[in-house]
Parts: sequence; C-alpha cells; structure tokens
Amino acid sequence: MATFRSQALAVLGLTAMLAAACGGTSAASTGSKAPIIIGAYVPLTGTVASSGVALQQGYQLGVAEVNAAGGINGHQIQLTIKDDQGDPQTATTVAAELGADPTVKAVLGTYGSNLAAPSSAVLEKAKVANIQTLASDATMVQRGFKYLFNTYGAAVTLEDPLIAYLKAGGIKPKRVALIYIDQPAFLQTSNYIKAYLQSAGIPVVADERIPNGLASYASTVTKVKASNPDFVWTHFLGSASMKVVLTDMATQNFQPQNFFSHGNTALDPPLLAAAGPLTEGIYSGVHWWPGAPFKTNAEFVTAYRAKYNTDPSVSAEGGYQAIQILTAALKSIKDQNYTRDAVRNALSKVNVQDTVGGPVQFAANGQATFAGLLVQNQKNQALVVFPDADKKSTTKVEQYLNQ
Amino acid sequence: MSTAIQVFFNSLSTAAIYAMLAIGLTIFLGTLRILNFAQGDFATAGGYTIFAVVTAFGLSPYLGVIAAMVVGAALGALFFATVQSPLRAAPQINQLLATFGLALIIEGILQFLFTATPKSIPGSHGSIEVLGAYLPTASIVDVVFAAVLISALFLLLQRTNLGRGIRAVSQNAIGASLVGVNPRYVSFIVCVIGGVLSAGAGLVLVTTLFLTPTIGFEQIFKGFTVVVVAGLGNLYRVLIVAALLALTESATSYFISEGIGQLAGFVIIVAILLVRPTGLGRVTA
Repeated sequence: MATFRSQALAVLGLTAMLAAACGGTSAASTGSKAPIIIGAYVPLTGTVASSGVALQQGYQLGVAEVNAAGGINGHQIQLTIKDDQGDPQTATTVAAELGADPTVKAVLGTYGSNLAAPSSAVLEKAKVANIQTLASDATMVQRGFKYLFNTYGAAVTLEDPLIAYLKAGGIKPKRVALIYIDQPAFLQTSNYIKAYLQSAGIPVVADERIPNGLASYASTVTKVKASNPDFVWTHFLGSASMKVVLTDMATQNFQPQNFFSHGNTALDPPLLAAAGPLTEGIYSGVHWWPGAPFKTNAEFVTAYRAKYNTDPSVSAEGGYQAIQILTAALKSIKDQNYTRDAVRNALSKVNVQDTVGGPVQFAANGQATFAGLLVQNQKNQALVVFPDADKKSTTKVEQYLNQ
Repeated sequence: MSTAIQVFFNSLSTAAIYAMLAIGLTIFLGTLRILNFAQGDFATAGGYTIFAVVTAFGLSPYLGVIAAMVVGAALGALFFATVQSPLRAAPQINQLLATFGLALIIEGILQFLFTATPKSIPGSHGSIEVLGAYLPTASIVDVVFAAVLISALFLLLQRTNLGRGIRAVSQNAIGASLVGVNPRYVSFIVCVIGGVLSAGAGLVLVTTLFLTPTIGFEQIFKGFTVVVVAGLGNLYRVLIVAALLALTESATSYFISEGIGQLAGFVIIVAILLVRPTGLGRVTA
C-alpha cells in the first residue's frame, strides 16, 4: 500500500514537474526572446493633437496585430510613445531622449514637417533609423541623411494628378483663385501649381495666403469671390480651416464651378460629419483614402473602425503603413540581431508590395515611392476620377502607381 | 457699397465671440481683481456640452446652450472654490498660476472625455441678401444671443440689489461689507455669472470651428486685448471695443490679407495704449 502510494505520489510529482517544465519552457521560449523596442513621438496634446492621436492609433493597431501573429520571429514589438505636444522644440527633445536610449532600435516619427525636420536631424546624429510618415516638405530628404526614411512624398506629388487631368482636358479653367495656408510646404505646392498655370496660359486671378485656425475667413472669401474665378485651388492644414472657408463660401453664395483641395482634407471624417454637403464635388489629390484599392487596406479600415469607432484618417494610415514597412524590414534580418545599423540597412533595402498605401520602396535619399490620384467627393464617398475613371477602383490604379 | 457692407457683416460673429469672452473677463477682473486664464476653457467646455447634447439626444444647439450655461455655472463655482476663495489674500502671481492650472485641468478632462479628435456640429449656412451683400443667419443669432446675455447682465447690475452689491464690491470690498454686502457671496455669484457668459460663447465655437480641448485658450487672448483697451466699469465700452477690433480685422483682411488683419487689431490696440496707457476706461484713484 505504502509502496503504491509512494509510486503514485512520485508519478504525480513527475507529471507536475514535466508540466511545469513545458509551461516553463514555453514561458521561457517567449520570455527568452527579448522584445524589440521601437520608439515613437507624436503630438498627443497641442493644436495638432487630433492628427497625432490618429497617428498613434495607427502605430498601436499595427503593433497589436504583429504581436498577436507571433511578433517578429517570436520577438514581440514593444512600442514606447512620447508626446511632442506639436512643438518643434519638444519634438527635438523627446527625439533626443529616444535616440539616447540604446535599447531603442528604431524610431517612428511625428506629424508635420515642422516637427519632423528638426527632430530627424537629432535622430540622424544618434544614428537610429527613423521613419517619418507625415512630412511633406521636399527638403526633408535633401539633407544627405542615412537614417531617415520618409514614407510621405513631397507635397507637390499630389498636384500631378490634377495637372495631368487639366492637360487631358478633364476641367478647362479660365480663371483660377488660390487659397492656402501661409507655411513653407503650402508655398511649395502653390508655386508648383502656379508654374503650371502660367505655362498653360491660365490666369491666376486671386492668390490668398491665410493663417491657420481662424474662426472666420469671410474677408478672404469676399475678396476671392470678387475676382470671379471658375476654379478654386486650395491647400489647408487640417480640415478645421477648410470647414470655415466652405461655410463662409456658402453664406456668401459663392459657388465656383470647380474646387480642388490638396491632400485628404476634404475627405477628413470630422469634416464630412460636420459639413458633408459642402464638400460635394470637391476634387482632391490624394495618395490614400479609406476606400483606396490597395491590397491590405480594406482589412485595415475594418479593424480600425472596430477598434476606434471611426474611419481612419491619412494620419492613421501613415502610422499603420509605417508598422507594415518596419515589420517587413525586421523580418528580413535573418540572424535576428536587431542592432540599429541592421535595422537601418534592412529598411534601405525593403520592398513591400502590399502596404495599405500601395507598394513602398525607399530611394537612396530615404524617400519612399509615392504617387497620387485625383478623386472627387460624391455623396461623402471618394471616387477616382483620374487616371482611371473606373468607379470600382480596380487594379488599373495600382498599375498606374507602379509606373 | 456692397463690399463695405459685406466687410461689416463679416465681422459680426467674430465680434460676438470677442464680446462674450471679454465681458466674462471683465466681470472677473473688475470684481475679483483676478485675470482668469481658464476663461477660454469655460467656453470650450460650453462648446463640448452643446456638442454632447446635440449628438447624444439629437436636440437643437440652442437647447444645448442651456446645458452649456449650467456647466458654465458649475465651472464658475469650481473656480470660486479652488481659486478665488482659498487664494483671495495670496499674491497675484499665485492666483494667476492657479487659474492657469485650472485651465490645464479642464483641458485634460475634456481630452479624456472627448479625445483630441476635432468635434463640430453642422452650423447654419443660410444668409439673407441685403443691398448686394450676404448677412449670415448664424451671425444674426450670435449677435442676438450675445446682446441678450449682455443686456441681462446689465439689467442685473443696474436694477437689482445683487447687482448693486456686485458694483459695491468691485469698488471697495471692505466698504461694501460695512454696509451689509456679503463680499464672499457676491464673489461666488460673480464667478458663476462669469462661467455662464463664457460657456455661452461655446455656441459660436462649436458651430463655427472644430472643437479641440485647447480651442478656447487660443481664443481668449483677443478677449484679454478687448478688456485691456476698454478698461473696467462700462460694459458697453467693452462691446464697442470688441466690435471695433473685429471690424478692423475684417477690413484689413479684405484690403490686405488675413495675416495682416490679425496683426492690425493688435497694432491699433498698442497705439491706443501708447496714447492712453490706462486704456479707454476712466482712471480711478
């Protein structure tokens, strides 16, 4: 009896030890693979906080999905996010903190060139790869940096579909008015379109630079209306100023034949919710929108809606795309030795065909492939107008982007 | 002619915002001698209240204003309890810092409740044509609303015992207490009134702009400007200066640019202060 009891206890004990060893082993197998620490800095407070929060959400959704699928060769991604408050000095400071932390293997950037430009210089000195997702100033990649990877193209790229459409005779403006925010990136785009208009002999009858964030642009609208344009070209920083301008135009009964908005401003979900009817018919030069036909975009939009109860903005898309690119780069590091230089080298060679924003590859100067399409708001939906007027947005669009 | 009329019409909503914020500041400064940095955030809180009422219950924004004013009253009471009452004998710098801290707390709470994603409700896009110019119906509502609030305040100050008490305390708190006015009670009422007025300005913010937690703080500096120039003691002078500032901005924006328009108002203010450093108000001993 005693012998049987002893044997039973020994079997139970052995079983328990084996179970603990297996569990311990699996714990050890995940515990022994150190997480890959990625830093990020975004404006969570301040005047551009809404874009910063969306960018953070894109990062977090992407990382959660990667980790749920087993991480990078078993390594989980650990995201460390700092708030740069939308202030260039603070952005530089927090970027320096991330750069000085030797455990941080790469850094994901912030919203806007005014924050990205100075902070990426600090990260370059710290020799840590940084992916900037929402910086459209063309000079970002003209500084000879080796560690900077810019996924958002020069802002002027999004003017090319409009120019091509004008050349193809899609719209034939006779008198053009320009309204844009008085900041460097916006001057670049306005000069770009003005150069084309001049070459095409199309007169610019009004050229208005406006400060961002005013409660009324009624006087600008009065002036532009008096110049009698049939085409209004605009470039706003965020949709708040655009809402005010559209409202002022409606109250002054100013309805030009055609209206163009650079980027995703006219497709911004808060603008569509607050002033949807006023955006009807507006053309936009964009590289992405929630209905874009890229391979993984539909799943991303569905997952984002489920998690955050709203459609993703271009900021959220930029964040999620950055994680897709970084994941592909990290997975290509075969020896799993994730040093900063290894991450940087992997990013420089990465070629990702299925990001939510289309195929991405970086040129030697760190600029990703980036192309635009012309879409038009029709009943709060963006429909492709050019280069492919197929409303179903088929793969012909992707073929254009691969040219 | 129609251009001049349009430029005038363009200034109306802006004048209404400036006036409501400035009147609230005047009340605080004139009676309590406190420059309240949280005043703009009271307006933001009012705007968010209206947003919540409209989106959650599908009610009209004008019913939302009633809720906003209740929230404004509560914020005014909070100001009394956390700043005015405990710090009334403290150095002014302490009081200023406390109002700044209250502003940050309100912004933090609003961000927690509503996130930083911009919020707005559809505003009115209608207008009435007058002599070739277009008067926005939203501007009519904003101006009427501001006029009603300010007139109610004027009547309160001039025709009621409470108003006499407020004026007495603003002139001399000790003297007022000697004749039976309770300065603490008056201070509480002033805080509540200031909160109500500022929260009411949230109606213009939420229908005109996108609400973010810091939007009111960004707008309050125009209110400060009006108060500095108009001086204390005369509500109608505040209204006139608010209207002049808005009209100057509108006209300069039209004839030169929006950027210069924002600057022009401040240039004129500085010019006035150079000639008359105490502002346009009467100099009191």
